[in-house]
This record gives sequence, structure tokens and C-alpha cells, in this order.
Amino acid sequence: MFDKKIVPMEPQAKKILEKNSSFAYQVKWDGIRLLAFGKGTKIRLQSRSQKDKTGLYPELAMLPGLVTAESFILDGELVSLQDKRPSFYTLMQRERAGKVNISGAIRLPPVHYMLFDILFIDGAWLLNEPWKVRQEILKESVTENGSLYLTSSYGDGKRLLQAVKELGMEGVVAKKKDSPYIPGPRKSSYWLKTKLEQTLRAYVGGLALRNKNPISLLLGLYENDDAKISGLEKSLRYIGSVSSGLTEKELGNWYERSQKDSLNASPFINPPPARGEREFLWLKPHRKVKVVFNEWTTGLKLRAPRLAR
Amino acid sequence: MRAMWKGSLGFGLVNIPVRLFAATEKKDINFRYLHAPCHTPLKYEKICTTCQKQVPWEEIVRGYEYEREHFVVLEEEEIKAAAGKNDRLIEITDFAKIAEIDPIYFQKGYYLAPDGTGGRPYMLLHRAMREAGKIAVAMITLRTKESMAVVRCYGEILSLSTMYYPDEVRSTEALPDRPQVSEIQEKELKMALELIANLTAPFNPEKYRDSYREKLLEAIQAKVEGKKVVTAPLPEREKVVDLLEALQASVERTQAKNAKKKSAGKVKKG
Repeated sequence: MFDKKIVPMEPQAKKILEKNSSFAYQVKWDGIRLLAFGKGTKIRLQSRSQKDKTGLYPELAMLPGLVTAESFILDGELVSLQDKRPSFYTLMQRERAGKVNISGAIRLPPVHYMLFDILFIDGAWLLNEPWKVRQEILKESVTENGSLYLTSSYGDGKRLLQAVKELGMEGVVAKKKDSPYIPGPRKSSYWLKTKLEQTLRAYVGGLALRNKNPISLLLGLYENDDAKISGLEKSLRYIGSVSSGLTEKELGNWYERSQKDSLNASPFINPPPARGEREFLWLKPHRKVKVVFNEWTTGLKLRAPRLAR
Repeated sequence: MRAMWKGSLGFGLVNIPVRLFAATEKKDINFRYLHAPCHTPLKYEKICTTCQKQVPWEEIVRGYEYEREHFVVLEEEEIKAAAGKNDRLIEITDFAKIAEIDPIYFQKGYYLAPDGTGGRPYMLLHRAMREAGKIAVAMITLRTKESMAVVRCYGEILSLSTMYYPDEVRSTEALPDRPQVSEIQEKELKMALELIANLTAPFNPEKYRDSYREKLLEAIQAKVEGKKVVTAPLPEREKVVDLLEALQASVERTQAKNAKKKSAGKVKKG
């Protein structure tokens, strides 16, 4: 059990928010899916792609002490908060830091494990138990603390989605109450997700030009921007370019502005690669723009960004 | 082990795809400077003493001090232009006997591993160099620096050592106390030779250890176990509880709003 590799259950993308008593609704956390295997005082963390993450998050080493069972497998999402909401970008700073010990981890963004399912407890598999029974077992077995939380369920998906939207979170997952746990990678119709567009404010660190004409803005976010996290160098990371939602006139204004704010070298620690006829004009990253996007790619770029109005 | 360079090894008309791995690692123990009263790690800031301010990176250029307090500024482009041609090629220029090279020239060791289809030509070169009893002299560009290098057989694999340029090896002429030429007595020489013969043993590096590092590690381990660990006061963290409370409040608010709408609708209907 402890060394077993499991692909966690995956939801299908489908809107189902009408009040439906056979479904329960939960927040879709924007982080990394993580399975936690516990046995005695030992813990093993495994990602969706079955990679071992145990050494990366030492704050979860105390997990066996918070579960009233000798052995267990828990399912949940690991998140890190920034500006009072889960931030995938902040979490990636932890992922990139690699293996750390507990005294190293306190200098990095903290993580929280948001639990929503249990697959195994004290020698018994729970995969065929209905979702609502698994929820009961999960609630009874786990004590919450600063790094470990249970995900609440709501009866009204529309209201939850409204609340999630107000708080700038990622979306809602509907779960069929009488459904078994079906490991992935095939997406199950027992779980259905609704995703919202994300917004953020990014720095403009340059312009992309084609035939000397500006075509898009190069966006970046500061890493370790947080003055609270000491001892780390502040650096600007390129997160993608945006052209959608920009008028030619606005691009022209950016181009004019660029004449006095220009830089000889890229302000990004990971400048975008020059491709074909695309040229870059580097800018001092003084101004921010608000961007709407679908989600983060695994390469930490914005998917389908456009300028917000 | 992670490859630090990928390219090819050029041998006559054959290019062997290879990857380069560091062969050695520094195990020195690094300390961080902390502020003694609160144990916060120190942060370094770049300060201009003339302008009395902290300097952002966009206001930094690189200057060469050609004479004391006099600088010429080089733009990034000018520095880049001087860099070695980064053609990802280890180009073998000559073969020689290793005994011809004094160890003082050796800089840093790497392992070469065949990449992709490189297996067969790699084996062939390895075998041929072993049978010829020769090493290869080559040029390699790592990052921006072009270096002379030696490629040779190391067990079953090929290794590469970067080399100092002759002008980087200081002349012994400048040594202050050079040995003086004087008469050596035949008897003394014989005794010295005998002593050497007596102390001759196969080279066994395993018997040498870095005792400074071992003692430091012991001291560190003892402090960690004895909980004499110091940490800076924790920065304020974002709380999940705040988010969960906000979520709950928001759901309840929409609930109340919807309930109002519903009852309002009812009144109209009635």
C-alpha cells in the first residue's frame, strides 16, 4: 500500500451548477494535486504524474500525527497563498527550491494541504465506498492544523461559484455523492469541474516587434517580491506575452513610452527566445497591466492571456 | 547526475554526440552571515556612495579599472562579442602522451558520456586511444570561456579536463627563494633514494580525509540534535483560515441576496 503508485481521480470539464441533490460542490484549489501515503510515522507524497514530492514539503511530515489511523492514503491539493488567495505561481517557487529541510522551508512560501478524499484506511481500500461515506471517514480521521485543512462541501454550486469568483479563485468541482473513487488518468463523469478565468497584474518588461511594429507586450512577475521572505534575490520572471485586447493605438503608445524607458538587456531572468522575425525591445519594468487568462501552463506561462478592461 | 553541457566531440571527420558532467564536487561547508541579536540572514544591497542610494540593476554597467580609479565601460554586447564561438564542439586538434603534460596545467575534471547515436564512435575512440596510449588535446567553449582541454580514457569512459593557458601558470622565475646550485654528496643521494624506496606504496587516496570538514559537520550535527538551532523571527504568513472565513461569508452573503430576490419576487406575484 505504502509504495503503491496511484493516478488520482480526474474531473471532466463540464458546467453543472444547477441545484441537484445528487451532487455536492467544492472549491477547486489552484495548486498541485498530491496523494499522501501514511504508515506508522512514515509519510510519502506523490504527485499526479506519480513523482515523489516527499522531500519538498517537510511541513507535511507531521501528517501521521494528525490522522487517527495506522495507515492511510489521502487525496488533496497543495496550495500556497498570495494576496489572500491560492497562487500557483507562488507554489512554483517552492517546487523550484527542491528538497528543503524544515528550517529551510520556513524561509520559503508556506504550503497548505487542502484534503478532499480518502482512498485507504487501516488495511481497508475505500475506492468502492460512496463519496459521502468517504467524506465522513475523512472528517472523522483528520485533525486540521495550520498546514492541513478539510475542503468544505456546499449544496448550491451557483452560490459557491459566485463566492469563488468574488475571491478570485479558480473554480468549482461538483462531485456525485454516491460515486466510487475511480483513479485516473481517464476523466470521470462523477466529478465535473467549472473553471473561471484568472486575473493578475503583471509588469511590462518589453515589447515584441514584427517588421519594426509593436505586436505584443512581454509580461513578468517578480519572484521573491515579498519583503517578508528574506535572504532571497528579487528577480523578474517572464510569464508570457499579450496582444489580445490591445488596440493598435495602445501598442503605439507603449512604443512611444518605450523610447525613454528602454533597456539594453532583458530585465527578465528567463527572456523569451527570439523566433523568426520577432524582435524584442526591453523596457524598465515600471508599469503594470491587468491580464485575464485561463490557467498557468506547467512551464509557468499564461494560457490564453488578454488585457483586462 | 545532471549534464552541464551538450554538444559533440569532433574527431577527424566524425562528430560524436556527447554530454558533459562535472567529475568533482566541492564539499566545503558554507556558512551564512546572520545578524547576531536576531539571527536574520543578512541581505546584500548595492549602494552608490556618490548618489547616496540603493542602485537598481538597470543602472549598473560593467567597468574595467585600467589604472587606479580610472575605468572604461564595456557594454554587454562588446563583452559578448569577445566570447568564444559557442559552437558546442569539442574539437580535437592533436594527440599526445600524457607524460608530456605537467599536472600543474589541469584545471577541472569532467566526464563525457555518449549521447543518442554516439555510442559506437565513442567506444571506437576510447579503444583506439587506449591502444595507442595517447590522450587528445582539444578546445572547448564552456559558457563564454574558450579553454584548452585534454580528453583521455578514465576507466570505461572518456574524461575531459580543462587546462590553464600557459600564461595563466605563473613563472617560477618570480619565486623569491629559488634553490641554489650546490654540490651533492654521493652518499647522501644514496640514502635519500633508499628512503624513497622504503616508503613507496601503491597510491591509495581512500586513506586521506578532510578532517576539518568532518569535525565541523560533527559540531553542526550535535547542535542540531541538541536543539541549539537558531532561527530568525518568523515573517507574518498569509492565513488559510482568513480565506476559508471569507469564502464562508461570501457564500452566506449570496445566499441572503438570493433569498431576498426570491421573496421579493413572491411579493410581486402575490
